This record gives sequence, C-alpha cells and structure tokens, in this order.
Amino acid sequence: MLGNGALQISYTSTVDLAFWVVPWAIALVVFLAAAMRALVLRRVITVRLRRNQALGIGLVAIGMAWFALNLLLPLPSQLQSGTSGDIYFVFQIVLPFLVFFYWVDASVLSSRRVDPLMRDSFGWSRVRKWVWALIAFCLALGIVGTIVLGDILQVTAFSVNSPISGSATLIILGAPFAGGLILLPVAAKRSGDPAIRFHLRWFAYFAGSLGLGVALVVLTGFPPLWSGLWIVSGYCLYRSVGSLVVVSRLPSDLAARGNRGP
Amino acid sequence: MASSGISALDELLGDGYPDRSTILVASQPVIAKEVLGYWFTHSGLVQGDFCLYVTRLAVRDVLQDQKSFGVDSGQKIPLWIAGEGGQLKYDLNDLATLSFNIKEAMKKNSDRRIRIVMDVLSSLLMLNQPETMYRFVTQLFADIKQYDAVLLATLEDGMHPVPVVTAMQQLFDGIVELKMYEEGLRVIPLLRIPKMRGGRSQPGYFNFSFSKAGMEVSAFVR
Repeated sequence: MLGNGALQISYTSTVDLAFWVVPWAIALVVFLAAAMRALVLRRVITVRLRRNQALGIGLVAIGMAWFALNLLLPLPSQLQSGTSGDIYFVFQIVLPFLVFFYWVDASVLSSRRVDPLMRDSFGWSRVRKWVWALIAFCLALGIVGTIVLGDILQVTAFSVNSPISGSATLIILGAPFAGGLILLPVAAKRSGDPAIRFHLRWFAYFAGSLGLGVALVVLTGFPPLWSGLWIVSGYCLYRSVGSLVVVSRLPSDLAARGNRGP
Repeated sequence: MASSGISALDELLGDGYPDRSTILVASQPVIAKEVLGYWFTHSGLVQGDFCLYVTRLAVRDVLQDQKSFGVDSGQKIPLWIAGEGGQLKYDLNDLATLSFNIKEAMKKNSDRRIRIVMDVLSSLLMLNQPETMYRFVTQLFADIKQYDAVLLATLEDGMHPVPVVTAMQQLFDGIVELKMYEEGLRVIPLLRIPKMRGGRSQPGYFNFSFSKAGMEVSAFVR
C-alpha cells in the first residue's frame, strides 16, 4: 500500500478497504467534526484571546482533516515534485505547522490571563514577537527560494538538502514543536482555569496518539495501526476542542417552554 | 438606581442597579463579563460620579479591551488600582492596603455617588484562604454601605470550589449570571439575574450578546 517513500496508495483488496480507507475516512469525519465544533464555540466566546485559541484549534483540526484527505486521496506522484511539489509541501506541511504555532501562542497567552499571578512564562509576551518575525522571515526565504533560487540554482525550496532553505524549514517546523513542548506544560500548570488544563491535556493525548501511530508504523511496518490511531487522535482532538468551553445543559422545563421574560 | 450603562440591562433590572448595593457578575472565563464593568464605569464617568477600577491587569490592557467593545470614556478617567500603570498599585498579597485604599478613596469622594469595579475577586480567592476572603469582603461591604456607593465585582465561574462560590454569592446583594448552554448543535449564551436585593431579579433566561453599543438582551424563546 505504501511505496517509493511517498504516500502512494492503491486500493486493491477488501483488506485495504477495511484497514486503510475506512479508518482514514472515519478519522477525516472526526477531524471535521472537531473543526466545526471549534468554530461554533469561537462564535460564542467573547474574550479575544480565548477566541483566538478556538480559531487555532479549529484550524489545527482542519489541517488534520486535510492531511487525512491527502492520505486517502493522494495527489499523483508527478504533482508532488518540482514547483507544484513545493506548493503542495507548503499546503501539506508548512501551513499546518504555522497554524499549530498560532494555537500554541494563543494558548500560552490565554493561560496567562487566567493565572492568578499573571506570570509571563519564559517572557513569552515579549519573545513571541521575535519568534513570529523569525518564522515570517524563514517563510519568505522559503517562498523566494521556490520562485527565484529554485530556477536559478536548481535548489528546491524548503528542501532539507539546501543549507539555506533547509534551515528555514527546520525553524518553521521546529518552532511549533519546541514552543509547544516547553511552553504548554508550564502554561497548563499555571492556569487557574480547569477548562484550559483539560483542553491542553486532551491535546497532549492527541499529539501522543499521533506520535505513537508514526512510531508503530516505523517499528512494525504495518500502516493500519497508524490509521487506527488516527481515529483515536481525532477523538482526543474533539475532546480537546470541547474542553475549551464548559457548556451546561438547559434545564429541561426551560428547554421545553423557553422563557418569555418579565 | 445606578444605571448599568447598558439600556437593555437597565430595562431588565428596572432602571439599573439598586443604590448602595454590591453586585456579582459570574461567568466562566470565556465570557467577557468585564464589559459590564466597562459600561458601568463609563456611565458613571459621564454622569460625574466618582469611579474606582480595581484590576490586576495593566491599565493599557484594560483600555485596549474597552475600546474593542466600543467603550471610550474620552478624557474622563477613573481612579485606577491596577497591576501596572494605575495611580495606585494593586498588590495581590496585601489585602489590608487594598481595603485601606478603597476606603480612603470613598472617604475623599463621599460628596458624590461612588462606583467601584473589582475584577480581582477570583485571583484573590485563589491566593487566599476562603475565611480570610470572607472577612475581607464582609468588611469592605460594610464600608461601602456607609457611602452612596455601588460595587460591581466579577467572578470566574468554574475556577473555585462550589461552597466558596456559594458563600461569596450570599454576601452580594445582586447576582448577574452569564452561562453557555447547549441546545442540539448550538451553543447559546444566556443571562439571568437570580438575585437582586432592593431591585428586580430575573430568574428566567435571556439571550445576550455584546456589541459596540453595549449588550443586546432578549427573552430566550425556544
């Protein structure tokens, strides 16, 4: 099912269908549901930082759904090379990582707001501007690499083989991971709001199950394990989204009749 | 009555918050309950009342937030007891000084109506023993009742043990509750006023939303 280093899939048997297509399709639906839930919650949240957080997690869910869709229905291999391959890479990898970093940033800032001591973890309120500037610079470098250097020097933008764009890619992909790993546990610990702690805890389960899936594929060479764990990670992301806002049930009598006011 | 600064809310309350009252606005942290404090202060400044705003945030952050909700008091400014940038410094470890500063401000402005907004209650509750906070709030309210003052405090719902919240709610004259409710796939923000001593309570539920003009409130009808 997997071949040539890239994710090339051919559905040849009912086994493929059962162990590959169906799990990915379920994962896709779960991620879309998480994205929709996040956007619904964003509409009713009135605190700007928390709204940004809901938007961030919603975009992460959309990114995951997009990734699942690409694994389910991959682009032809000829479109995954050259300039179209670079564009594909930007949409497939770079954008989701930027979105992930946006969510990390929003989460750290919102956690600070509900920390009774208002602690600025690692001076993040100041450092974040520099990190965003660095990422924007690296992104520009990668894009310029695609448009200019790619043709002149035959360098593939965002390629890890090129020292310049390779470093840029490393920063774009590494910053969210490093930021998330260092900042989020501290943010969760310092937050006075249990909703944020639940949100981050479920996100950790989501990231953990994704990582476990990749590790299992590498160790066992059995891709269905990965697709199965994607469903689990989708569920964890959905729970993470749901934890953002504590929603009460309407009292049953009120739900039935409504309230006509005074 | 002291106008809340939001006409829709005044209508529900029967012309505003009762005189010499203490009001608690409770909601979870995702709802910008501070907006009620912004409009309350704005309304007071416009009417020439003395306004005191107690916050752990920096003044510039509060002003920025106010503007995003359409509140702009122009040149009129309240007395700030703030974490940063205020006339008086807010120290969360020093309840005695906070109490003293509020009392002094009221004494100096006893010739006019006083409006106090406190958005520090939750952080104080998290950092102090409930008994200490209970004593602090009781003493503060006793002082407030001696003046023509109305106090509005915000409380983060879900961040404190239920008995602590219940005890706090009992101390206040009025409670405005903002909550998120689920109906099918929809999430609806609803308001209710379960208690308003000396005023009109509204145990029923109302839809609400914030706008640049304040707050829109309408009866919740399914």
